[in-house]
Amino acid sequence: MPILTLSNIEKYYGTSYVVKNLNLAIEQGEFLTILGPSGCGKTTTLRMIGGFELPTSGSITLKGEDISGLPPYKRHVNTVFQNYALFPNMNVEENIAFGLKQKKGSEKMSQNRIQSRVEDMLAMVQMSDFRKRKPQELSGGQQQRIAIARAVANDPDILLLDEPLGALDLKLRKQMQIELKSLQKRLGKTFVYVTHDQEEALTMSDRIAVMNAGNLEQIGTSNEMYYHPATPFVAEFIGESIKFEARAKKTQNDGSALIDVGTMSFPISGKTHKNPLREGQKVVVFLRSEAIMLHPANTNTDAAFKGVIGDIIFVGSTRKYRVHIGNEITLTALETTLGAPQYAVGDEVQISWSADDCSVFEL
Amino acid sequence: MRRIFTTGSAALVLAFIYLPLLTIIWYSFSAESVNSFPIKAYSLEWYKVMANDESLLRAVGNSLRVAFFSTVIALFIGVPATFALHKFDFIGKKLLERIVLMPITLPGIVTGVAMLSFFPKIGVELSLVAVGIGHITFLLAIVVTQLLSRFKRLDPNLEQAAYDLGATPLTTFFTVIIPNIRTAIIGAALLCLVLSMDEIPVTFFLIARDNTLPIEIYGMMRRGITPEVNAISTLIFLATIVILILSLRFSRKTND
Ligand SMILES: Nc1ncnc2c1ncn2[C@@H]1O[C@H](COP(=O)(O)OP(=O)(O)O)[C@@H](O)[C@H]1O
Ligand SMILES: [Mg+2]
Repeated sequence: MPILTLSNIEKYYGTSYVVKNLNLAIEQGEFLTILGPSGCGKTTTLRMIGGFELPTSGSITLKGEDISGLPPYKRHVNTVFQNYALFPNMNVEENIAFGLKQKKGSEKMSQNRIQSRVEDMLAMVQMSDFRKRKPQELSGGQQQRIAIARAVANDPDILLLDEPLGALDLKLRKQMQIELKSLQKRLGKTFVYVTHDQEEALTMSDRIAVMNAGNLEQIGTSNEMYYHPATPFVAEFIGESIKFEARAKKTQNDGSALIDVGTMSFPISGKTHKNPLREGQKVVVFLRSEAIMLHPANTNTDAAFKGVIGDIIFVGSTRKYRVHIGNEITLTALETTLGAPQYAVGDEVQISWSADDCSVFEL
Repeated sequence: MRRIFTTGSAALVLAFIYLPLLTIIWYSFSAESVNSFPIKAYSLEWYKVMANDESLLRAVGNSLRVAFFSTVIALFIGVPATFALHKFDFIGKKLLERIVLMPITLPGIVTGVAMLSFFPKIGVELSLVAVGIGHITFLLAIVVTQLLSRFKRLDPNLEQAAYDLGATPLTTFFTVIIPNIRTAIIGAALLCLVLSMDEIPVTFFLIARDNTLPIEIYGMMRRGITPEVNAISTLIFLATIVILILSLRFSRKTND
């Protein structure tokens, strides 16, 4: 049974919707990322789980219990806020102990137990030496760790994280991604993580839910998202692709077909699309940069296209070539810098890709 | 040329405001019993007279009591009310904000007369208590204006983080909200104390036998400006300056 279920959640502000007919089942112990462009409703969704916003309609169940109407302080979930929201009037220890001190009745914790729990949390985020500091006296990355420790201290059923690494610089962000992921594994906790950074999502998540304009586009593993996008939006949003419109021809029973782009054509396999294509059907094709292979003009290949190198961008381990095919299409190809032949601007090249390596959607 | 003009006019304005004050301070150290220029002999004579003036000391005590209690009560009502005003959206919110702020702009004489006729009807006799209630009305306005801007600068996520960690709204208010606007509250309190100590129009209408300090001084003045008034004025001036500077420093602090 899923630990958290969102059923038919809708959220309106006035007459405009922010989240529409959202259904989501989150499993115990999974790292689920809600991914989408800015303004698509990610934060609102997270805030509805946390209890800071009430859904206009629909229900939220946590461990089988309907929590839709409960205030945040009665929900057994905790949040890591984007700006950390550490209490400036309390030191690190007091911040972490805050949630523990709120427990009442049978859950009430003794001073000793609170203290030892705080110690554990400090050790967990390797911040034991900073226990007496005020949040203002910590760096962004350190505040981040305390925010995580404070949220985990209460042992919530679910930890909610809203772009928690957004304010950190790239290097620290990469490091925290790995730390967060391993922390989640170690604790076996359910994380619901919000980000607009697809790379972050692909790195950390067990599953990704891609949202667009208030709608859930697709939910699945990083692999599924990357190799089998369910909608044109997902195909475009995840990874780096070029997109062009074309027509399907010579459609076969096994789903394979020929894609016609202007004066040129190339084959696709049945794996590139879900619904069978009709003869002459207009389609939109997404082709990933790293699926494209370049060959020197004089080699003997069965590559379908010839092109000219337009631009070269050096990105460390890879080189990004912009290749013009006639006037109609400009591709971006990613090639490793080591080993592969290198091209210069103006070079003629042959271009190929496997018949499996694109995504095709009916228009 | 332009420099000279601007500096000159600034000096004039300052002189216009502070010259009378400086004169008072200077005269307070005169040994004579009339303000005459130039001062022939200096002494602390009039500070001694002041320190032995029982009715003046009683007035100081009354003023301090009124200022203290009306400030405390204005804070007790004003802080939670301002928080609610800041936090909740309701119909007529803007109107309510205006109404609360009205006593600041309304001439004190109008408030005074209104209360003078209203208080006896609800069984509040003219007394220091009535004066205190009168002061609370405009001190509330001060508290609201001072704190509303502070609440607006307070990170709303702090409150939500407290709820998130299981704190009820009441606990959150006392353990997270109040401590984080503490300096603004202290600043507002100091300002309230000064304004209450200094208030004349409302006080004038609501006072019975017991005078507050400004009213007592006003009474003394009818016997002419004695050097004793210079002395007490000097002390009030200095105390006010100190408190206002403190108040400003507290309310300016954002990171408390
Ligand atoms: N309180 C609000 N009132 C009106 N519109 C809001 C409110 N909160 C958020 N929105 C709108 O809802 C949309 C989604 O916001 P949000 O959930 O914060 O997006 P995301 O986190 O994906 O960037 C945005 O267009 C935003 O302007
Ligand atoms: Mg957001």
